[in-house]
Amino acid sequence: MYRKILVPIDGSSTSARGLDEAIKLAKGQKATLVILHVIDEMVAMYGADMVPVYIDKIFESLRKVGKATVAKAMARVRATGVKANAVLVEKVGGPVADVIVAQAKKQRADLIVIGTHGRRGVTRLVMGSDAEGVVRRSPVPVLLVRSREQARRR
Amino acid sequence: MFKRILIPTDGSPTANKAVKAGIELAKVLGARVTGYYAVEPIETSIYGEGYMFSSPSRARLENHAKAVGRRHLAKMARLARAAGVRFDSVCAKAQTPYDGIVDTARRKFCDAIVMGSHGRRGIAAMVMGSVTNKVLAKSRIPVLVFR
Repeated sequence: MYRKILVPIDGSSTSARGLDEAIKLAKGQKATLVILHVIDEMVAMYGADMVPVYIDKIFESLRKVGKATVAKAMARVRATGVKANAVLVEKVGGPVADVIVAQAKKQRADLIVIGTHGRRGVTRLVMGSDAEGVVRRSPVPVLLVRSREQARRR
Repeated sequence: MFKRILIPTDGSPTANKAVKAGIELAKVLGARVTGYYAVEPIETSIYGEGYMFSSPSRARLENHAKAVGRRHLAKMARLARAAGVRFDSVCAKAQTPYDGIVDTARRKFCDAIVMGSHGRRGIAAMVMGSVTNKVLAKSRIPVLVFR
């Protein structure tokens, strides 16, 4: 039913929940996962005028953390025998939801699986994006998986 | 993977899309499907100030809503049978559709919800329905959203 599943991750336990569901789903259908991590350089830009000398170092460290996050996720997927590719995207500003939706199109994914922290009002996703932003713009169905801590509380 | 999938419907085109895809997914996974239709309480105030329904007409409206729900669920049952998917359904009164969806999922021990992103409610809810949003906020099981 699904051949290519896009899984945005950020290294949190919430995103791990999404990844685990995606692995389970992919296993039975021989689907391929596309692990997506977005490096938001805006985080570093906020302090850029104060410490111009360090900005490259900050970017470098963000990239390093991003690569490690993806590598960890890839190892988790490979251990289950499911096929996966990794995509690392760098962006400055703008909603993460836009990057997720753009990648879904670019990678020709037919499903997005993503972990959520359910809060009152908006349902937050990994990487600070919101569920609504992704679902509203996504060309494909979106499977939203609630983090365990949040799920227990109810 | 998923063993029992709840598919709520309000008969809208988006819901129909979710119904088809949900049944297909259930077939692939070997899961069973529970169809759900929420019969909302009839509000008197929305029909004009000071006007009250007599209880016979209220009952008639509710019966009508139930009949509509049963028709949508019967359609879903036919699709499920054609796909060889085990199916049961709930057509019940709920204070709000999202309460009904989340409660029914819990009562029926469903482990996933498959639904459309927006249904029959007004322009404001066209982009992403309020029902869907509230289900996302309240549900502890995964929700698969179709547009």
